[in-house]
Amino acid sequence: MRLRTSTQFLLILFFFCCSAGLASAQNLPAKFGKVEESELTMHAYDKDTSAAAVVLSDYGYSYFTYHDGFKVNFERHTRIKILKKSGYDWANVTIPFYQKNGDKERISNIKGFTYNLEGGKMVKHKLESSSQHDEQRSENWYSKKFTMPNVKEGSVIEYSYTISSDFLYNLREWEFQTTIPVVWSEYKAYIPEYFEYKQQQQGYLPFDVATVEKGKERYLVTWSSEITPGINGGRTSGGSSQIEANSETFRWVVKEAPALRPEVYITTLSDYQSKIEFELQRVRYPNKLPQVMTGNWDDINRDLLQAERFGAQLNRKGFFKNEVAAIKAKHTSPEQQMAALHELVKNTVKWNGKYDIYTNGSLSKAFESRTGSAAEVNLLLTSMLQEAGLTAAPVLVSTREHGRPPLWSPMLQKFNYVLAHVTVGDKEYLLDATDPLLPAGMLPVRCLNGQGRLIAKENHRWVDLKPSAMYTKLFSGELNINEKGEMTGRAFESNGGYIGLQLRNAIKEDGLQKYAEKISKEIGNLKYTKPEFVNVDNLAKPVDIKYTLTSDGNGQANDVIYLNPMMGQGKKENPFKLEKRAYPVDLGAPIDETFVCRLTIPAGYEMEEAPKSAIIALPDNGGRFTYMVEKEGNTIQIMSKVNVSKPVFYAPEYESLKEFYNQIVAKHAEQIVLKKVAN
Amino acid sequence: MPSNWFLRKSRQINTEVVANITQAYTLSTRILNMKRKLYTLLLLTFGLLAVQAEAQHKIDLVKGANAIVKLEETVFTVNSAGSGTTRIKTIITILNESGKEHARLQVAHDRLNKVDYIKGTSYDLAGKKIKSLKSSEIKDVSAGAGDNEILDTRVKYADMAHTVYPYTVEYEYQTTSSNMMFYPVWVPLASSKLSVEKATFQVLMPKGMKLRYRETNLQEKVKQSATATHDVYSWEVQNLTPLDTEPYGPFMAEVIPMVRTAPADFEVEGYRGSMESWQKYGHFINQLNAGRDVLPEATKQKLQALTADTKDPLAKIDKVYNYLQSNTRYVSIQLGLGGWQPLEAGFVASKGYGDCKALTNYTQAMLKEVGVPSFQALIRGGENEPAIMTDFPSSQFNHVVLCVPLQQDTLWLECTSQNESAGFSGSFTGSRKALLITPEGGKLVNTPSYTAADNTEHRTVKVKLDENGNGTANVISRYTGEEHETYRDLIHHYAAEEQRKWLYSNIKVPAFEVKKFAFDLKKGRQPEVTEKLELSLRQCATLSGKRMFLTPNLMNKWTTVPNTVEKRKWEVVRNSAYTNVDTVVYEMPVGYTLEFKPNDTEYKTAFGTYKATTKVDGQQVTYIRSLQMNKGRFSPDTYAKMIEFMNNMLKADAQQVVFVKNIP
Repeated sequence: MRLRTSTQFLLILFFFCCSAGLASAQNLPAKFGKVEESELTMHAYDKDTSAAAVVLSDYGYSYFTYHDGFKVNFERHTRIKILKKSGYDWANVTIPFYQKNGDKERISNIKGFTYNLEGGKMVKHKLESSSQHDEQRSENWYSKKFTMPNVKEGSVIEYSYTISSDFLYNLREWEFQTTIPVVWSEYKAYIPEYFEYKQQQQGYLPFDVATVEKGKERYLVTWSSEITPGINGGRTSGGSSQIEANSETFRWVVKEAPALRPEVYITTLSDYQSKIEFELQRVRYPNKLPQVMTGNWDDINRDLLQAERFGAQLNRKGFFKNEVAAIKAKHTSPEQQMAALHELVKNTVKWNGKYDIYTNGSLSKAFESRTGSAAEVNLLLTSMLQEAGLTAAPVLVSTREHGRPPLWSPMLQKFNYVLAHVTVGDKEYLLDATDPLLPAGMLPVRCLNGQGRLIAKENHRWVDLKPSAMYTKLFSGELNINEKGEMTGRAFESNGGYIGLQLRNAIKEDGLQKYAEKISKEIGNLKYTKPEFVNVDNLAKPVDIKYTLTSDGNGQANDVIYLNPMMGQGKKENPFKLEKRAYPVDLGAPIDETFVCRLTIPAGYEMEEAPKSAIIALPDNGGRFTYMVEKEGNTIQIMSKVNVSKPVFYAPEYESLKEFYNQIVAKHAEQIVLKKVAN
Repeated sequence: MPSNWFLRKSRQINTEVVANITQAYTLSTRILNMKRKLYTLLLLTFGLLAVQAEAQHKIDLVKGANAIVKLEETVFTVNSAGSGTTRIKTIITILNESGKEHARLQVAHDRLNKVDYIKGTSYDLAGKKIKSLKSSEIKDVSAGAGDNEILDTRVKYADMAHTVYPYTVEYEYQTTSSNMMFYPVWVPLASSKLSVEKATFQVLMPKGMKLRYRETNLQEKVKQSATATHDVYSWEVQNLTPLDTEPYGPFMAEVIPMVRTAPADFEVEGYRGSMESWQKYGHFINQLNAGRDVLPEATKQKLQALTADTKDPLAKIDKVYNYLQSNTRYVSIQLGLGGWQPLEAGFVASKGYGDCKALTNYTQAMLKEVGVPSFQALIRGGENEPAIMTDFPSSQFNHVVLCVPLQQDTLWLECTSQNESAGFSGSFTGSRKALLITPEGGKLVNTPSYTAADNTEHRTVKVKLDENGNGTANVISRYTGEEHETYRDLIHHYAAEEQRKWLYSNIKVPAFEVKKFAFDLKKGRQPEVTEKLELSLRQCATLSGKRMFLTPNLMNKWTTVPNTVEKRKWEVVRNSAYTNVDTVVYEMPVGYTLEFKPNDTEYKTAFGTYKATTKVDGQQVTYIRSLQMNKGRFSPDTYAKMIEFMNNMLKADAQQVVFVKNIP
């Protein structure tokens, strides 16, 4: 969103252009061009000796200027020590920038040097402008790329640039942490009283400095000459004026930030990065009413409901009246109507893969062209549900890859997806029509990310994006074993919730026949053959597969038969191997895996040895593993149940989660021993 | 060359427990990029397929297809030795959502290749026009990807996807090239799950100019005719059904219909050349390189000083290569003819970076300065790349290395790597043909090849277990040849903490902790990595009542078996050869007696040889497993035997030793 400044406004107020040099000179961690000898001679970073490169200082500064409209400027000065050859990529710099319609981000004043110690002396190599290239990456995104010269192990590289932007809405964010260590990271934002930004800080690192200084600064306002047509028009000459405004200078410093490293089972690494972000909340020009950009949820809620590309779309219901009427005629209960409308939208409007909270065009256009973004698909669904007389409202969501939405601070840019919310009696449902394989009421994994914001005339609020389904799998086997150790029987598996969804996707990808071929094969001694599928198309039910299960013996009668009773379904490796964990484990949804098997043993054999039954529980009802082997007459019953009931485990809980799976792996490896008894 | 494939490998998480949970590595870890392919002959490396062109009538083109090419006409008109125009008209019916990629068009262009026009129209099932492509809907973006790539190649793309299936998209576009090193490669069936009703290819050569072509898997050979001004070569295919993929199949390019064309005489940016023979091709490359090997005086002096104390060529090479590796880095720069012509040696000397051509040219210049002659060698680099067609001299390369002939043998240098051992080619450039650029022109030669005897893993493990089945393992593994490459990259590109994580996700032991680890790389023509691990093991042996079960194969189990294929069509192709020898010695807790020991197992097949023995001597269990896998091509009917062999190994590796507790 661009903040518009009208000519009229310009004529009333003569505004400002702050002098950039003034504030940027103080308290710098490093001065451009002044490289310390110790920086050149260092061979390793003592806080992380394995680092391939280390950011010695990273300094950012945002401030405002005015010339025919406001601009927000961002200066950055970065100094990096290259320690190893694997750190060379840090000498290839890419700066993305954005242009849309007439509004631009412009990169200027690129300066750069590589400093090497050659024969005990410092040698400087300049970044030539011929080593800088522009690239267009997509319709609106461009990159400036530059390649630092003569980089070697031990080089210090340094560069600085300025980005001047027409997009005031987003004061540039600052990341204090990156994938290599950062010794000194500092951000300053110099914000005049006219702009009020909401700040959001996140991460696990404390600030070493966090200050606000209030002051008064003088600004120079310049404007170009202009001709206004009409009776009262005429030529206004260009000029400049000085005014004084109150300002706040924010300063944040993080020292010695460790490298950020990816782990599995996380939402997105950037959720764990220390950074600060801004969103323009209010603009207060002198002698004008304050203009609220975003603010509290009351205002956002109201604005969204009126917004042309959001709430206004919900009110235009003419184009689908017939479809909704047909469904109302056919189904009577609200739940049935809800499911039928969900089905209708899923099957008629394809998701185009785009994430957004606003529609691109009108919903009727999406309906006609049978394709739309997540916002379009689910706002259309919401609108239809409302038309059918249900209590329905949209919910703003941030998908897992997009990061956690902040609960304490309303920032619209933190959302990228829309769901439909329905209340029937005292029951609430969340619907997503972007995936034809999703049953009504189940969310795709990408949406399982904390909470979403319900946007409604009354009672707008946070709603939990709790998974209504789990990773559910049931395996049940019925087998006979003979003296040779050969087994024959039937097996049945039932794949529900997210496992069912994955399976349906795999079947859709391969086709049922190919998929059946893929899974019917021999693995070791076990042969799973003749799979029969049930309920592949009935989304409300789990996908069931029945197999014939056989296993080779060793071709001769044995007095002792050793047998792993998990039939190849046991957990062979612990998914959590690392000894430590810095971030929470985020599984998305709970897990429920049940294995039962009835094994009939040959006459004249006894179960001499059996694994002990066990119950292992995670603290705070986080999960439970139950394992049991029982014998009744000539049959043995084996049961294993893994239940992880929490989707998120925090770092201190990691150890118990890991141990939980260690126990499962160990138990699943245990054996039954059958022994021939005298007959 | 820093090939990054192992990063991907290592990121495979165990999906057994919590399958497919969205995991995110979205924060860009800076990843080294593979070289840009200079030459994009469809890199169809995903194995296997089948083309059927049986009875011309009644062929079901819908079965197994996501889209059908109704008609595709490609006309390539050579205007002169230095210019050619390609016009393509394609009508394709998209059958379902999975086929929607075929509704997209991408046309690459750069300073030497211009797009003249692009037109598009889409039609619904009834043949009614849905829409025409507007010029504002044609996007034009850079083809650049990584931070270390700078290129002028751009891509125009259009998408005419519709949402009601089936629908038909028609594109017509024309490009004009002034880079005549490349003539078209015609691949009518360019992807899987696609069928073709009819496709034609015509080449119009001005009278007197020769067309060279190579046909493969065609229904009919070329038809020749002529107009007043041109000789016309025409090809046509009809009714091609979708390719069927098979595991361990040949490269797609081997089995699909294809016509490759190439010039005899050509011209680009004022350089004239001929491709009639490899020798002539080499002469052309010599022209491109001529005069670009001038080193700055300061560099010359440095090199002289560096090598002043030796006369031995090998020592000089060592010093120069080391100088290269410590003063330059790889950055891909492909601008205009720069995609084929090296940046001058002086540029690399002053900036300290360049692409494969620039760095190789620079190294050649430096070696020349110290009196060591060498030759550039064009190559198709990459793991698992199809071999070049030696019988069809043409632009088939994507990389260049330096070849230094010595008295005894030949030394190969990879100039884009800051770490590689001098003389090691490995899986990226080894075991293939290269075009040596000599003053007498081009000559095809072999690069060093790596066999099962070269690519080895030798491992010795000492395990001590307590009465609960827990214990410690001391592991020493030595990797050579292609087997060492993963560990080489791990050493060069991963910090210690990342190496530890890599070990955790790649060591295949059910439950363990890495107590200590160390890697040591010994450089040389046959470089090797020694890996030392100290692991603590959880329930390495499992207890059930009075019995203790031990799977003696601790960490090198065969775990996968490919899918069964009922009627195998294609040859079985194995591209990797290696040898693994694992020796694991266990010291078991006291108080147990052996109850069962697996028999020694041996399998000898054409695909490989497997042998496992288990000896029990009191408390000591000694397990020795050796496996040699062979590369080669095997007849289709042997596929079942390969599956059997793999399943046999899987079973043998899962065998257990059983002990019973002594009753006191």
